[in-house]
Amino acid sequence: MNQHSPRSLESLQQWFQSVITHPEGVPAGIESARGLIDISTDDLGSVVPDCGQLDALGKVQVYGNAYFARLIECLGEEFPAVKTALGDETFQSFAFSYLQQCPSISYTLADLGRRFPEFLEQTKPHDAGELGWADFLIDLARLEWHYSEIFNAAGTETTPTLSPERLQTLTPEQFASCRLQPAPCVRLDQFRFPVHEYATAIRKKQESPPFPQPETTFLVMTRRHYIVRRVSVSEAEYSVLQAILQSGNEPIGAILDRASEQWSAAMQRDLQSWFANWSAAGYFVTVEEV
Amino acid sequence: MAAEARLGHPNLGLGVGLRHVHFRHITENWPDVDWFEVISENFMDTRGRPRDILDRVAERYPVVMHGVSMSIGSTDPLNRDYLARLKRLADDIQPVWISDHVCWTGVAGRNSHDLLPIPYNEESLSHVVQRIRTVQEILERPLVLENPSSYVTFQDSTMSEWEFITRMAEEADCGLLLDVNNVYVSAYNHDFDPDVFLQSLPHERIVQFHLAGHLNCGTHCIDTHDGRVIDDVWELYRKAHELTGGVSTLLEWDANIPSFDEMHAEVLKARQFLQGGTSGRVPQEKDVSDHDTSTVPHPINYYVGSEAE
Repeated sequence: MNQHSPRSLESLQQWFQSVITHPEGVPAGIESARGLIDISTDDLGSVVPDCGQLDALGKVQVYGNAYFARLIECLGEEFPAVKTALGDETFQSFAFSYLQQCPSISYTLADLGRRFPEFLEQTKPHDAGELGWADFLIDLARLEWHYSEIFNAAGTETTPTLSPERLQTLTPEQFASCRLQPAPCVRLDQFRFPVHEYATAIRKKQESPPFPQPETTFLVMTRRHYIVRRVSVSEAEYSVLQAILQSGNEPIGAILDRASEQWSAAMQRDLQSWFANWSAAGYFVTVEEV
Repeated sequence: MAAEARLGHPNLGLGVGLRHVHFRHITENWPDVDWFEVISENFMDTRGRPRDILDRVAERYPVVMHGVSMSIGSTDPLNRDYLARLKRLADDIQPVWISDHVCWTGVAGRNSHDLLPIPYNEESLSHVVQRIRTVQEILERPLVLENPSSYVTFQDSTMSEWEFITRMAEEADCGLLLDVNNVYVSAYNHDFDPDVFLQSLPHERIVQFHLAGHLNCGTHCIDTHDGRVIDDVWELYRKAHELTGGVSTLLEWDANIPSFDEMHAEVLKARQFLQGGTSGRVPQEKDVSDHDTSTVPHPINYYVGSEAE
């Protein structure tokens, strides 16, 4: 223990963090942090004493080696399908770059992957405009992030959802003037590949599932019995449901009138079964008079 | 100031950590366990299955909340949003106490998600004591803080870890979670006598013990929480039990997690050790001959990911 006047706690912490999180390792971190504490690796003992059997550099490297390894492992658990699609080594490389560009600023590791899909989008190689491998990975990452959000969202497991029977008690006039309150765990998103099929194959431990061909895919995702569920729907069904979910306080009649300008034929044919399916799947919790 | 033994908290007996790989076993069998410890951050922001499990566990067992992100030693401002969420979870599940670590996890807005050591000196002591007082006001209860395992010490330290912890606990009027395995790991890494550490603490403030497995790399030990408790750690536990008169004991097993029954059986060995026996199973430490520094220490096993069809 030293009896001299210590450095400030703040400067020591900034130096230590800078050293152990340097992507090129602890010695490079020590050089890079000389503005905080001006020492070389050879002088590390002036900050971290050599006690015990491991030298000072080895001691600091325990933290330095753990930093990226720990966070890359967590990202792999958050994005298991992306990790499988890329392979371990390439995933680690992507995750390593991501963590340098987007280090954690949250108290929870649950937020660690929030910007990963956006990172993949921003760093994808420029191409001739055709959909390719990078676009598949971006969509897959976006899907897995949706899964995480829905898994942790407020759900309907302990509260009633709107039943098909309740909907049937409404007259057409009553229905048109109502507003549907969506379940808090329902999400819609559009993908350029059927990424849900690939993700499901991975979660079912299928080895090397085939990479899907491009195919515009409209997914409705929710959670029932604490398991994230997803269903692929037509563009018409997706668009009408999205309009309802985004409607705010607008009555359902006005929303459907507007949607019918584009989806008239599909709505005439399928609207009734859509509502039956949506209510059976628990996409709404209440129906309210506007 | 003399403190009531264990700050007035009960001795809950022998408990284990609530880990997601055991969710199904626990809710199908409701095993005969004295109590559970939960990682606060794994439950404070979810309304999904983990939180449902916790609510059901908390109806049936005493639960203690153990955090890894308070960063009580950081020079960044306290995260008031985090503390509000922690308090909300505590209000909901009514833990017997709330604990975290004597460490910092990040600075300048960043989080390393590691339990980083602080230098032990007057500046850091004053800083940590003030923050503990603030946290205790927000949480409206005494905080319980754990000695971390560490791999470095600092030239800026002017006192021992045990002196720092003792003064911290007395001045902030908080409780202590004595991680016996961490004492062993840090003593090995920094070449101090673990018995001195144990004997020097304010024993009446020790509310809880932690036990865990670690990895001995030859030149140093890494706190991996991935295996059985070695006999030397059990011996420290026996001494700590004598010094405190016995407090709530919790086994941490966060990697290579075995079946629930196997994990529970490990903590139940405490009864055997307190009667002077030995396990007969882990008398020797593991040894990694290549002086491995790539092994990742605890904490790593946060629950991330999701269950999807």
